[in-house]
Amino acid sequence: MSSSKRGAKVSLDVMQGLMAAGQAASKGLDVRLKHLLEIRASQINHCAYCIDMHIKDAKLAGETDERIYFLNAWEEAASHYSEKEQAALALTEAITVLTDGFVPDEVYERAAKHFDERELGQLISTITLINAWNRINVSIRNPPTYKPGEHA
Amino acid sequence: MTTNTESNHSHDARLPEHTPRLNMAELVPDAYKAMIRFATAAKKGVDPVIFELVQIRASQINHCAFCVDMHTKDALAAGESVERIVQLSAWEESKHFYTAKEIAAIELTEAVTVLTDGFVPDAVWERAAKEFDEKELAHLVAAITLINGWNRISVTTRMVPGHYTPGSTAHRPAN
Repeated sequence: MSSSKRGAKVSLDVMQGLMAAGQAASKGLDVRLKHLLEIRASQINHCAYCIDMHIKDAKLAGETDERIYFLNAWEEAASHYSEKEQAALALTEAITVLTDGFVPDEVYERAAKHFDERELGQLISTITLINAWNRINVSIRNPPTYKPGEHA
Repeated sequence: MTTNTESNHSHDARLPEHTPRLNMAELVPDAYKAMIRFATAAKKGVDPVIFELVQIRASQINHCAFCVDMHTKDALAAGESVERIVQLSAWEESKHFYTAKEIAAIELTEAVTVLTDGFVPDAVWERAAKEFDEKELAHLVAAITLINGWNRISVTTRMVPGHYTPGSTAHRPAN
């Protein structure tokens, strides 16, 4: 499989639109939590560029190596994450894997115990946006060569 | 829906409607409005017939009832046939309902939508690249990305299907 970037000229207003949506989505959300969710969704969606970017930015924001590499198995490494983070991770997985069907009530209610309605709205938007970037970067096969802080 | 005449089944026997979990437009208006601006940018440059086919197919795969309702109604209002809409979920066996360009777009939609199974295969990308130039491809990817975004918002907040009327923006916040 070729790993070079594919030819697709993403127009500036599409990119700017998505960036503006991303900024609005996560405004006020804890930055370390944001990166945890973004890394986890990018793992599920197999987006190398996005994994690279959000791991580098997470470390820049003071995240530990352990909490990053356990993300792939966070349910078995639950002691490394707060209840709140775990609820957000479970919600991230449900919203990311819609193809298996729905966002279960228990997952949603678990999140609703830790986040108020406005925070839930931000979480849902943030998870939606990383899913969008995953799709763009996987489709155009953007190579994982992110410089820390480049888009932070 | 404004009429009950499309079916002989009694609506009285139907299960009650669910209620939405929360209202994104109210709670995170900036993010919601930004999504709408992204939608306007993404939609530009995609053939409107292909755009609706892509929106419906992704919404089927992501099980988004509100989005299926909305885009089916918009497609029908724009002159799309019921046949081509119904056949979408089995397009591989009903290719003769569609043009080569439409099939390439639908195939790309599936690959970009189901990332969890892994990647957007070269074969799928190249078939699309034969039918669309680089700028069109980018807009197509943006349109697929867009509906995947709305699918996530609508499924998670459990928006209620059945009330959409073609072209309506009543479900959106005021600017």
